[in-house]
Amino acid sequence: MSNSLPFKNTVDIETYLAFQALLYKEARLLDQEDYEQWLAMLADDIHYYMPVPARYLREEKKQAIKPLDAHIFNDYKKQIELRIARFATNLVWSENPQNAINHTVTNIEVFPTDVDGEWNALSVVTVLRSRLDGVEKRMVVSRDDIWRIEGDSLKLAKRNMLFNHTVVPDSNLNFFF
Amino acid sequence: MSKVDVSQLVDNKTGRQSRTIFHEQDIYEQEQERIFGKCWLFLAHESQIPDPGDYFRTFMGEDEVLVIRQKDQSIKAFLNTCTHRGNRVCKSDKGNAKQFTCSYHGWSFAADGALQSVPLEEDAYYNELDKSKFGLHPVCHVDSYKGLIFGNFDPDAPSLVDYLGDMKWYLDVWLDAMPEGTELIGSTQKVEYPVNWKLPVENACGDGYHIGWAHAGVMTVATSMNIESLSLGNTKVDSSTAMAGGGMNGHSIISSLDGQSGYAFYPDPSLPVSYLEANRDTVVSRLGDTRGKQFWGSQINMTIFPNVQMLPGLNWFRVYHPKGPGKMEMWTWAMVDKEMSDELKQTVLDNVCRTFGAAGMFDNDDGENFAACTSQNRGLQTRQKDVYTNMGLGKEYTHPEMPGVISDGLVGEQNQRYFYRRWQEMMAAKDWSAVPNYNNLEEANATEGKIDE
Ligand code: FES
Ligand SMILES: [Fe+2]
Repeated sequence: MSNSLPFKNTVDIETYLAFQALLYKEARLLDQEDYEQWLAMLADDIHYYMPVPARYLREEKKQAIKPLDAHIFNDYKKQIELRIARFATNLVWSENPQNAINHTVTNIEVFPTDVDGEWNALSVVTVLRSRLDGVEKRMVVSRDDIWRIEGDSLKLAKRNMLFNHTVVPDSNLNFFF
Repeated sequence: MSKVDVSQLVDNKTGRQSRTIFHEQDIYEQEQERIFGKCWLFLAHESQIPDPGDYFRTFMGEDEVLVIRQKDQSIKAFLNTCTHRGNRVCKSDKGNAKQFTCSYHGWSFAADGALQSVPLEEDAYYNELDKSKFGLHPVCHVDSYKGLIFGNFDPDAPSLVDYLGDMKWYLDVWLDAMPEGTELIGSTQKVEYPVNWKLPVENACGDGYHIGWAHAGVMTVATSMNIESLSLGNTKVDSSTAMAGGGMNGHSIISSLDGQSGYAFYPDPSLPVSYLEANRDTVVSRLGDTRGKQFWGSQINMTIFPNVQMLPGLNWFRVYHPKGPGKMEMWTWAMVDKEMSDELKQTVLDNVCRTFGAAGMFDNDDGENFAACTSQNRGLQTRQKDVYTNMGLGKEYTHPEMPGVISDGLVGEQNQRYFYRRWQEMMAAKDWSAVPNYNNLEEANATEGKIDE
């Protein structure tokens, strides 16, 4: 029996590992609130989008997302920079003392796209946020990314997210997914 | 159950409240009965259920209800619970349905609430079940005011227009400014907070005081227009540029009077401001000079007692659902004028989500404060102390044109005092005949002090 798999991976192992490392690094920067370095990972035309989830019957699911629909994030670079500028004022009292946060990235899949130098990466991020006095909040988000080669690095060009929770379980989302 | 005596828990004359009202389970139960069981509660906007069979699942207090558009376009609401064993009848947030079939034993209810079919009706019930007695339990009053649908569980409640009373003069600044009226857009943005439901209500009732401080971070980066009646860091304010109106059966308003500052927290307010100017004459012709020029377009907070808040300009519409003394769910939508262009509607919706949505840069400052104002009262010693809304006591006056009791400025605590006065009146009254009516100021003066007797 041959020792090779009877199918081809979506990308070669080097590429896969590179994406794994990239997503881990991004998670670490977000955990550390190193927004300067995180911003440097974003393409200038980034679209960072998370619609508001709702529960519909399966047969009515088609009405779930409408053109004019509410969102948790619908940000281009300018709006992301605005959120970061707000944190940077040091006047956001709810983040002082700092809340401990961990982004755990799992379920990574990487696919080539039709566009040269662009990859589609899927992942699930579980955020564990330890707030004052032992309060813990856990949130799960599936991410559908487009990453693009720019110069000698990969930049996040698009992130579509699905937030699992129809009722947001924390009183603020002063962070990114 | 014996009732809690609320006479010492709130004092409108000194602006004092006992902290127990944010903590005690028996007070909470009494709120369910005497406030959420008697007041008109917001159910949905007509635009959310335009066609027959359209439904929306929501709450009146802790009671889950289903609001359904009927074949004749009227609207009915029912407790969302099966009359057989009590299961939830509808699990979807909204949709369109000919009937609602219970997932437990399969009883099926029509859109008008009638029990339509029962599995094994002949074989197991021997055709002896009187289906006419097992329809969904209706909410006894359902009525609309200019697009907003309300329900009331109390057969003896005043009519909706009487309930809204003098507040209608202010509500119309949004609901009736443009000929086509308003609509809610986007799906419901729901956030759970470890917060007593009254704290966010009193906040948006009249608390301009916190804006410059609690929201200092976002004010620093996201303010595009000057609002003279607010200031960053609470350094100074010009009280003559804004008003607070309260005392109107618990409903209230705070408003700038410049006719455009509602859009001050838009990164680029030019699109909404040009909409305001293009339609200013129409609105003035419908509402007159004061409301058309000074109110319409201004930074405004309106509160409909007990749990609805709407901020034209920032364009959000919100209801707070109590979930126990220490928990509530906040539901937010964007509300727009139907006449607005799709581009402007999208701009408004984006701004609502970015400022007051789940990741809203303003809203994300408030939750932590409300949560601690709630949780600190778990301490037995702590909750025997009082808290105060005593800013500007005695500075109230009446105005020849503007209804209610008026104070100057967005920074004040008058409306919070009147919110708690109404809370106390409702909590003390076993039925509506014992609830004072402040629908005009003469009456207000006549009944002033009734609580203290
Ligand atoms: S509980 Fe609904 S059919 Fe039995
Ligand atoms: Fe606030």
